[in-house]
Amino acid sequence: MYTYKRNMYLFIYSNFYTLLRVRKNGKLKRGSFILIRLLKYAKKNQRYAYVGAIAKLLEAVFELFLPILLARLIDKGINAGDTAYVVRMGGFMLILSVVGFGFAMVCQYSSSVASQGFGTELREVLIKKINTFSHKEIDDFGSSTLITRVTNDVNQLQLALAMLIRLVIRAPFLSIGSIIMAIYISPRLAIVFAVLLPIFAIILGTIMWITVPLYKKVQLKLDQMAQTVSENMSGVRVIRSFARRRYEAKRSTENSEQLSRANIIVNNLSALMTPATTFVMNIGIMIILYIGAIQTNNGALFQGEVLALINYMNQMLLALIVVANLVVIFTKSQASASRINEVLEATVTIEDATGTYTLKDVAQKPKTAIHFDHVSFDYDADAANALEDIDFSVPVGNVLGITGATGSGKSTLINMIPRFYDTTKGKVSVYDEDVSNFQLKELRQLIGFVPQRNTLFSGTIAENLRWGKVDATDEELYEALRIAQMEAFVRSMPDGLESPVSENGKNFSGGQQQRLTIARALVSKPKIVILDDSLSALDYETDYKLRESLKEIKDATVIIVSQRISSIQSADQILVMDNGKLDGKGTHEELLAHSETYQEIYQSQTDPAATLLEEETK
Amino acid sequence: MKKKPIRPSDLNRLLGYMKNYKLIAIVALIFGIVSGVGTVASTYLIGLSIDALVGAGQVEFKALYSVLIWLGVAYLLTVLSQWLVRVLSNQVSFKIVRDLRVDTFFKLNQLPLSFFDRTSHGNVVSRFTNDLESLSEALVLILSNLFTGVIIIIASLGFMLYLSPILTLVIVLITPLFFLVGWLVANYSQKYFTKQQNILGNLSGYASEMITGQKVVKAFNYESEMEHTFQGMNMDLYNWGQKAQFASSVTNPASRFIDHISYLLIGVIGGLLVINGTGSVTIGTISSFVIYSSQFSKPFIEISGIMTQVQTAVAGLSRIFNIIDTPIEKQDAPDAIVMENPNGKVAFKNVSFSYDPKVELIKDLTISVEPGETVAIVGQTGAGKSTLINLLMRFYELDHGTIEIDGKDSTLYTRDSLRTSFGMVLQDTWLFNGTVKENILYGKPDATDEEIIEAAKSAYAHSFIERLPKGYDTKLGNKGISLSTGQQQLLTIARVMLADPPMLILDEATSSVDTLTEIRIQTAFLKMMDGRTSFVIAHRLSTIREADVILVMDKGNVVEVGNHDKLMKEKGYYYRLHESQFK
Repeated sequence: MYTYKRNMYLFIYSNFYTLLRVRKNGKLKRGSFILIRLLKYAKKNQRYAYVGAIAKLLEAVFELFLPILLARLIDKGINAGDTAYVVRMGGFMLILSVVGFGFAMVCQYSSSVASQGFGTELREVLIKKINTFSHKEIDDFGSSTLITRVTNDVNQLQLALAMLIRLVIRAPFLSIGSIIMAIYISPRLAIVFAVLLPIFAIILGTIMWITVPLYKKVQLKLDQMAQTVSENMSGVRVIRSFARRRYEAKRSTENSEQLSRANIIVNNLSALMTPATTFVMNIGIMIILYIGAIQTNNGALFQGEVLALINYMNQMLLALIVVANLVVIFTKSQASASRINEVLEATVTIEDATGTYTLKDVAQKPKTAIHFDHVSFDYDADAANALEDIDFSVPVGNVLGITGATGSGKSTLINMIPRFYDTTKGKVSVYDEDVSNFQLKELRQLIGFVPQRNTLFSGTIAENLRWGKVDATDEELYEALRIAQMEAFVRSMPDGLESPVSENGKNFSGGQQQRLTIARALVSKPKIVILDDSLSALDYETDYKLRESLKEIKDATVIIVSQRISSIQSADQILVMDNGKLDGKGTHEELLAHSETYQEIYQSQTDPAATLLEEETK
Repeated sequence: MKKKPIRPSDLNRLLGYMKNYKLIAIVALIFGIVSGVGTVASTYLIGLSIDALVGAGQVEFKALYSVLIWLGVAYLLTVLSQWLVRVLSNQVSFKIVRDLRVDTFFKLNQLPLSFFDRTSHGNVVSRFTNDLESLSEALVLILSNLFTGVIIIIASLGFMLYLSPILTLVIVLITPLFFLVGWLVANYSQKYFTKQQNILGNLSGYASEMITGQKVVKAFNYESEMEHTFQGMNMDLYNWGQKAQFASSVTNPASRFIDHISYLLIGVIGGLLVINGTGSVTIGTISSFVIYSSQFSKPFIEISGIMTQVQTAVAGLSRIFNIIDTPIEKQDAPDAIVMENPNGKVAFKNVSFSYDPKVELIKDLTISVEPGETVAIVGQTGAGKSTLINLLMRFYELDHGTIEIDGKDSTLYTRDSLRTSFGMVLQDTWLFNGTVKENILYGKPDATDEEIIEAAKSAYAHSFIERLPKGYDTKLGNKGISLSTGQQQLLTIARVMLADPPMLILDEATSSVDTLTEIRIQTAFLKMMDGRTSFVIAHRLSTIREADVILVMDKGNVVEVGNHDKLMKEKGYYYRLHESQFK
């Protein structure tokens, strides 16, 4: 048992370190041990957790008995010259060791099942919860932190649970157990234990208290380093074009220097832990030897018992270090736990309709595909309205164009149709029915949505296209590709539909990505096709052809959001957005005649730039 | 972590870094020895003192007192040197790592652009952070434990032999078991870990793709499909993760078990020896031996524990040396000319270039641009437009031919002076974490506030900057606010406007700005471009019409050259592109 002392120190040291690396914004919420609240997800494997903890406790019990048995062996066996007794005690110890080992294995097994099961459950619950999020929650969290929460944070908790099962009962038990055994051997010498225990605790606590904030500083410097390197990677062209290499080198050298200094300070301090606690323990041992000598001389104590006391002293220190480590694990997991909890407890702003309203229930021959009835919307109660009093309707089979400057609310507007956001005021109807009466699934099935960012997923072309319709045939896929002006290209690829797509579709050009995402939206033959600025990377020729072939889809209502007038000028109706308001609606000709904003946009794209510029500079 | 063979050359180079701190390392070594000797000596003294407690009325107090005093001295020495070893090791380790960091960064700064275009950024960042941090941890552990450990092993062995050769034999026979267990467990769990790592990688990749694409997932009702796939991976992860965790967690109880066995063997065999009176074993010998044996095996266990950390560190070290070993950009010739106020005559002469020798790109390109001309480069994605810029800026070196600026081969100039002669605005905006002002200042650190505001006004950025919470002092990036892509683009334009370079490169500079704002910026650009040779890549043909020369590129080659009117008359590729815009 003496053996593990230094190992434990190493363990603590490295744990400390990772703790603070993981815990960037680790605020401790007052008193609430969120980890424990999350443990409800360990229910499936709850009994494993209990079995594990109890098995570990039993192992500790057996371990506690070893020193006292050795004491017996020495005092009653060897000193009395009783060979049989020595062998018998040896046998006892062997049995205890074997049984202890058995219990330890049971514990390790149970804790691996319980903790891994807990992590698995937690990941699943998290993914399911995220799937219920509306766009607002996704915006609020941001996808990168959601990813970290599902992966790193869960792993962190998994580790923490495994450690807790192994240590949470055992460590306090061992330290208290050591004292009890000491009392049993010699009540008077046990006072030494009782005095040393708080001293150990104070030393461990003080060092942790001082070093934890310092480790945060190290983490900060490390983050800065990461940032500098990352900026130098992504900005390499700019840095070199301004010839700022020397400056960047200086910046990183300073950074490295600060990081190394911070590291040295904090590590020197935490390196005090081993010598300081050892020193106190050594004093304890000397006191035990001294008083033990007097007691032995009085016949109140035996030689072997003194040895046992020294052993228990070691054991108590070890257990205390483990307790300190437990605190570290707890704080460490606390940050992860609260991050996970935030996701699980987030209120989802868009609730699915409780009714079973489906497309079939919609009026047989509706005339209006989409209707906005004085719709207003804000992303945030404090922010200005992103949409204000938008009112228009689109007959079935029509093409609607939407244009306007960046940030004028074009995307926001179309995001209301599949209910990615709910209106703040007013009503959006699809096929004469309020969108909030549809089941989300039904509503979204009606709509083929092509988002602004070309999001393709790693896999094959066919896998990506089948997102809209899981059982689509190859013919259906090619049909969609034909409309999206991608058929010839895909057919010319050696693997055709089975050609690989890398993450984000990076192995395709921007224009190809856009056409693939358009094809994906068309596979399910949607009634409403929404293109959110999805033609921008296409050359004008392809853009035109694509729009022409979209007209072939029977009864489909098409919405095209674009900054390019040429993409929308042939639409049946055009909406001009400006600062969240509808600045004008009508056909190209009507708008040219009446809408100033539209005229400006149109001119900016058609007139030779110089003429307009001359007017402005006059 | 895959086991990689340790490259001796890596270690030699690491030792090279240690040279500067040789003295500190040697002092640390000496204290390591002191601490080892002290540890063993105190164990010996404890044995002596236990021996003094023979029984009731027989305790030899006089001997005990002197032993206790010596024990105190030994303790004090051990504890002090323990701390000093650690402090000195910290000095050496963290400073070595600092030097490595600085050197690696210096190297990174000189690598050719191809490295940055090919390498994952996250990967390089993790070498600077994770890899080097684990190296420093491992160095601290090695420096502070290795020598102490070796001394303890040797000294304990000596004492044990002196006390009882028979009991020593028992311990020496048992100790290899620690290694055996460690080795078996490591071997056995390795395959589970590899498997688990792979699945974890897949699962993280899948989760990250699906979460990033959440909005698409919703648009396509893909939630249940995705959950299904995720569950499959999750279960896989559970199966292998549980096995890996269990397999690796066997080491601890197993070594504890071996420790207990040696503990009881000493008790029993020692006891029998005492009773039989053979080998001069006393009870004190047994108690000392209990401690010696664990002291003896402790460094072995420790070292095998450290080994995994060392393994990680060594892998990291070789990744760091990989960066250092990447060939750097060709250095400027010692007689390179500093380019000053070039008049801006640019000529490509028989230029050939390709990123990948197997895929031909630019072949035998010859163009010449007169001073002050505006050159528009037109063509589809992948036609080689940005490649021209890469060559102009010498981000990549030509395979054949020359690019001449002011009649001289551009390789004759220093790179820095060549590059600063061009003001470059790219489609991918690059702003660093800092204030708005710092970002604009990047191209001209000594500019006055008036100049900054002037530049921002020209870039139509002033009005939105004014509306930011702290105006020009607003922080951008991680802990600050985030700007829209259009606003970011305006800032990078302001930065170039401030630097006021003699030539310009605009690579889709206004692609994220709406057409109205674009027109306004264009005024400022036109003002700037007046009299300066400029290269403009743009998708919007309207911005291209005014150029003096239009290069129409297709598949790496310039297929048409001329101004707008000429190209329209020719009714070629450019004409077709242009017509499709207004159909």
